[in-house]
Amino acid sequence: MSIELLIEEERKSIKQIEDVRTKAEKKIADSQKEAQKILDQAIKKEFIQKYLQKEEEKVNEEAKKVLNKYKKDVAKIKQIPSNKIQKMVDRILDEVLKI
Amino acid sequence: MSVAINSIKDEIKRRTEAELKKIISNADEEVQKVLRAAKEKAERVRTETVKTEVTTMRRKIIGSTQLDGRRTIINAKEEALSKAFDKVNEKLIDIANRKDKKFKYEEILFKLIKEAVLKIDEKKILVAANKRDLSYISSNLSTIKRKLEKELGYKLDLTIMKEPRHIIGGIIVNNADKTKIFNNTLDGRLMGLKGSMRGEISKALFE
Repeated sequence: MSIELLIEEERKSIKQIEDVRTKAEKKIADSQKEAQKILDQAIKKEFIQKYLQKEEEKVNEEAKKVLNKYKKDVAKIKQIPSNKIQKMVDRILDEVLKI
Repeated sequence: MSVAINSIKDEIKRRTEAELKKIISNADEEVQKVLRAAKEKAERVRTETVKTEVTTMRRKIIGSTQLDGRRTIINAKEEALSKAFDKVNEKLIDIANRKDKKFKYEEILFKLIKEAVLKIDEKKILVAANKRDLSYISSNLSTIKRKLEKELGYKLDLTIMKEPRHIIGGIIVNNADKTKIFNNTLDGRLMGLKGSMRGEISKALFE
């Protein structure tokens, strides 16, 4: 009777392990299918479009920074002190009247 | 049930649990590995596929932004340069109208005539100017002629052209048959400097 109990216990154990192993194999197989899906999507047109859109957004952000740099330079040019301009005016005038 | 049997039964249970845990853990690990590899490969494939497009798009957007930016810089510099030259223009108008007392316009005008006559290098000279200067030169022709002859060391035949020119000041001189011309107007001199002094002024203002 006791030996039978142990055999039953062992049988249950093998069954449990087999079930879990089957589930695990299915899980791995599913993940491989999912992986293939990920790869397929990577070259799908709409996915590429989406990716390009994201890249374009990044580039536009970069362009904004570039433009801001130019804007700062322009602001600097527009703020040339009047005495600096006056000095140049006098220098040009001297040259016009250097006869 | 004997203690020994129970103990074996517990051992079977413990071994089973451990085996189940191991199977689940290995499977989870494998799933993570497969998905991670797929995502990495997808990223590589995607990057490779759109690489040229992204490079072209980037060159187009950044390139056009840089072009616009450089254009605004050039425009701002042009504006600043124009401002300086406009101020000189205003000053020249004041000088020619004798409003700026720091300058003696009659002396400037004489020097302009002398320089032009020297450049033309002929004895028969035609002089053109604006209405105001023509009137001044006509009224003082003999004095101007005498002074010029004294400084140049030869006789001159100066003729004033009646038609006034629309200029700030200064003169335009021709020889008798009009084959030679020398523009010694204030406007012309300023115009010439816009080109020749551009580098110097830009350096002084923008560097």
